[in-house]
Amino acid sequence: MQDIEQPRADAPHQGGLGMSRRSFLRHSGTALGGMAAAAAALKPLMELQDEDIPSVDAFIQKHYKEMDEAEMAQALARISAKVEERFGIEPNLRDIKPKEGVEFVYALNLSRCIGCRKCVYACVDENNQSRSPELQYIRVLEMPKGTLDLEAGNHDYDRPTVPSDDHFYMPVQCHQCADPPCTKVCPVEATWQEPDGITVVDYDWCIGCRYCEAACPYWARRFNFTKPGLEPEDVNPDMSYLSNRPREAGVMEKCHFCLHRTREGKLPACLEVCPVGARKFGNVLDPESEVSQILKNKRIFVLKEDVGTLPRFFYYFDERYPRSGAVEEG
Amino acid sequence: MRLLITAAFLALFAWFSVGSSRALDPSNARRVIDPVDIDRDAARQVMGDPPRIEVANFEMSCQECHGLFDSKERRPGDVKQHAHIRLEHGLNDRCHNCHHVEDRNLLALPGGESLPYGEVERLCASCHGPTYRDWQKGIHGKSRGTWETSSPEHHRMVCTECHDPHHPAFRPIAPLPPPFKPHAGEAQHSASHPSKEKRNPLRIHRGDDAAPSPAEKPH
Repeated sequence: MQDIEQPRADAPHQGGLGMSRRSFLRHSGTALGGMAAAAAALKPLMELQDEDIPSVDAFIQKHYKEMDEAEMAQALARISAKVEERFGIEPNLRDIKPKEGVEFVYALNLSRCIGCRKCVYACVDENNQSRSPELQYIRVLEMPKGTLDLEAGNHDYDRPTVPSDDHFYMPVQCHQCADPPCTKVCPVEATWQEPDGITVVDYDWCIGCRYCEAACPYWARRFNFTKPGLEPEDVNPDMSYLSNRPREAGVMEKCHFCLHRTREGKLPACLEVCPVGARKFGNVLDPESEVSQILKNKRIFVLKEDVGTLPRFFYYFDERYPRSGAVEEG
Repeated sequence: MRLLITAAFLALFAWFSVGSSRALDPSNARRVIDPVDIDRDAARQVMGDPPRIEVANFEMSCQECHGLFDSKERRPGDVKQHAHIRLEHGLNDRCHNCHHVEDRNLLALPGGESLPYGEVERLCASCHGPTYRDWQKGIHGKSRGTWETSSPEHHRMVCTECHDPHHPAFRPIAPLPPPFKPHAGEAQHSASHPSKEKRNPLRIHRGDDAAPSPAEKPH
C-alpha cells in the first residue's frame, strides 16, 4: 500500500532524498519494466516502411459512396501510384458502376463438378489475393454421396485424381445474399450491397474488426492478418476500386463475382477456368439468360436456406449422376 | 509481486524482440501454380467442316482418301490407320453409327440422314435428349465471352469442344493442392500422414463423425 516508507526517527540518516536503498531498487526495477513493456509495444513502429504510413490524401479520403467524381479520380490516381511504386506495374485501375437492370446470380451444377480446385486458383490469380500467407475465396467441399450434411464435408481432400466415385464436390464462396448479415454488423459501413446484388468492401474504409466474418454463415469473408504477400509477377493489372486492387494488412476481403470483369460483360474467372462447365453466371432479370433458365427448369437449392439470407448462389443438379456408370453420357 | 510483473514484462519484451515464428507457418510458403493448370482458354481442338487431316505434310479432307477405297463396317480396333482412336462410348461402338458410310466428310444421323460436322450437336442429341435440351437453354455446358446471352460475343461451346466424341466421359484429373492450414506443421499434407482430424470451419466438431471417407480414420 504505502509505497515510500517513512523513515523512522531512530533510523540512520539516508541522504537528502529520503529513499532507502531497497525502495530505490524496487522503484527503478518497476520503471525499467515499464519502459521495456512500452518499448515492446512500440516495436512494430520500427518495422514500419514508408509505404505503410498513410499519406494525407489517404487519411482524408472519404467513404466510397460520398466521393464525387473528382475525388474518386484523385483516389484512383493515388492508389495507382502506390501500386506502381510497390510492384512496378502500371495498373488499369478504375471504378466501375453497376449496370441498370442487372442482378447477378450464380448457379453451380453439383452433378458436373469434379472437385479439381481450378476455380480456387484461377480466382487467386485474377484477384490479387495474398499468396503468402495463402488467402482463397473458394473452398471445395468433398461430400459423401447421399447426404447434403455439411458436417460430413471435407475441404482438405488430397487425392491423386478426382472425382472420387463415392463423393460429390461442392464449391462454396460468397453467396452475395439478398439479405446479407455481414453488411448489417459493420460498425463503419465499410461493406454494403450494390444495386446489382454484389456485396463489396471499401478496403480504405474497413477497420478490420472482423464482425462481418463472424456474421457470415458461409465463411465467405477473409481477413488479412498480415501484409498480403504478393509478388510483382503475380499481380493482375486489370483492377477496380471495389474488387481486386491490392489490399493492406488488417482489412477484410471476399468474393465479388469478379465485378471488374462482370460489370463489363465478361465472365468470372472461376467460371472461365472450369473444365466441366459446372459454373453458370448471368443476369437473373433477363428471362433468357442461362441462370434464369436454370432457375426455371432445374432442381435448385441454396445453402443454409433456414438462416434466411436469400443467397444469389444456387446449386443445382441433373436428373441423374452421369459419373455413376463411368462411360455413360458425359 | 512487482518483481514478478516486471519479470513477465521483460520476458514479453524478449519474446517480441526475438520475433514471431512466421517462417515456421506453412501458410506463409508461396505456392506457385502452373499457368497451364488454370488456363482459361483451354478447349478441345474441333474438327473443321469439312474435317481436314494432315497426312505427310499435306492437308486433306477425310473423303479425299476414303473416296478412293471402300472401307468396311468395322470396329475401330480393327483399323490400323486409326489405331490412336480409343472408342469408349458405351454401347455406341461402331464407326458408322456416327460417321457417314459413303462420305467421310459427313456425319450420319441414326435414320441415315447425312449431317455436316458443323452441326454435330444434332447427332449427339439423337441419343442424349435431356442433355441436348439443357444445352439449348444454356444449362448444360460452358459458355464463353460474356454472360449476356443476346451479345454476339456470347459463345455456347458445342459438345465436341469439351467432350472427345470417341471417349465422351471426362477422364479423372489430378486436383490442385488443398489449402494450407495455418500453424499446422510440415507433415500436414504429406501422403504418409493422412490428416487425423478433419478441419472444416462449416462443421461443429463432436467426436465421432458420420460417414468418414476411406482415407480418413475416425479419431
